[in-house]
Amino acid sequence: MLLFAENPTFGKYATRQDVKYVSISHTMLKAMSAKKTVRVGNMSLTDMLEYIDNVLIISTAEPSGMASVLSDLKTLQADSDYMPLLEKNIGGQRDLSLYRASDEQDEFVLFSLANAYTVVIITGHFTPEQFQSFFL
Amino acid sequence: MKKILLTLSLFAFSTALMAQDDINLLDLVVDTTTTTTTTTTTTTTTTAEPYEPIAPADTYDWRAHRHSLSVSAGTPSFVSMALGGFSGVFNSFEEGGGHTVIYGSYGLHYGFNALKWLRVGGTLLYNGYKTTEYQSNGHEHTTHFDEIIILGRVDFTYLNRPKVRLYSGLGAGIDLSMDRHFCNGEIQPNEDGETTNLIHPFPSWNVTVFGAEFGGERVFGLAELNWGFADVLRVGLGVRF
Repeated sequence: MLLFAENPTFGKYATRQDVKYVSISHTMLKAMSAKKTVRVGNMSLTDMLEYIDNVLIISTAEPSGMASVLSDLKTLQADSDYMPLLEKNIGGQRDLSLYRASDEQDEFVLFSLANAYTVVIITGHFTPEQFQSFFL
Repeated sequence: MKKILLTLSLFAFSTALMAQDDINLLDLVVDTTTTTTTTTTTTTTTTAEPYEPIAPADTYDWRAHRHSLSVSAGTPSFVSMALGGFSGVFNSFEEGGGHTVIYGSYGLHYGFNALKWLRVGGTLLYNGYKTTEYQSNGHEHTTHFDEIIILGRVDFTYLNRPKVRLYSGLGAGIDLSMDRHFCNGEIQPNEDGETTNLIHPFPSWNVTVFGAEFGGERVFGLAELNWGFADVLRVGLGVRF
């Protein structure tokens, strides 16, 4: 299984001081979901856990961290492997979601950019259509 | 020492997670601690910016408004009509005719959501009707039936969402009914020969077969189907606070 610490785009945040970095493994997610509903914002993950290998959440309100996240976003947008799913800007709250299909691991990346920048990266084996059912 | 601190942190993290009804992974990156930085001249207290929620729909918290107060109107209850004179309501008035006026049932209800799925509270209901019968001898017989029902109730909510709640429930309490008979406007003694002290307390119960509240988080409409001493069909308006 690919570990996120090794991920070229987001692995660098594991040790940085200007971002909060949380990586949750499939095993931990399963343990959490034993008696609780597991969600990310308004996305419910409970019914999809068997397809998810890892959830990585990065959040920062520091200027250096935000600049770095923005740079990551541009990198992914320029990468033809990443398919844009949704982009919206409502009152300065920008949400962008990208999907990358891969034989090894599929990847769903959600950028939420406002006063603080939050990136949610979900890896596993799923299709973009399956994410429709994630939303509560 | 570091190991102890790490263990304590993990324990606090796990306890916090398990105390919630569901786990929002975004909460893991919310900095709820307050950092105090002291220099030789100034003391500054800063709290980190909370993360921006991904969608406003995520902000629903049933605990924000645990109390509810509502008023309702509905049909009379089957049981109450039976106790007060079922035959009076459906009298065919064969002799000189007659008519029945059903006032309906009106209620005031209070509820407290102890848990997301459990609400306890009380209901105060008025229910009444009047029957007038014209006899062939020219006499006019009138029956007034009024009752106040006070119920404690427990509702089990099986869907609790910002715009809709579905529930069923049980209630028990007391029924204070008053059955008065008049002949040409003069009150007649009841079965016990009394013309005063006509209020009869009676144990009452109710089953809310199905109830729905819909609308906003603060102001809502309600509809219920009941079996027992409460109105069979009920609609109403309420507020949560």
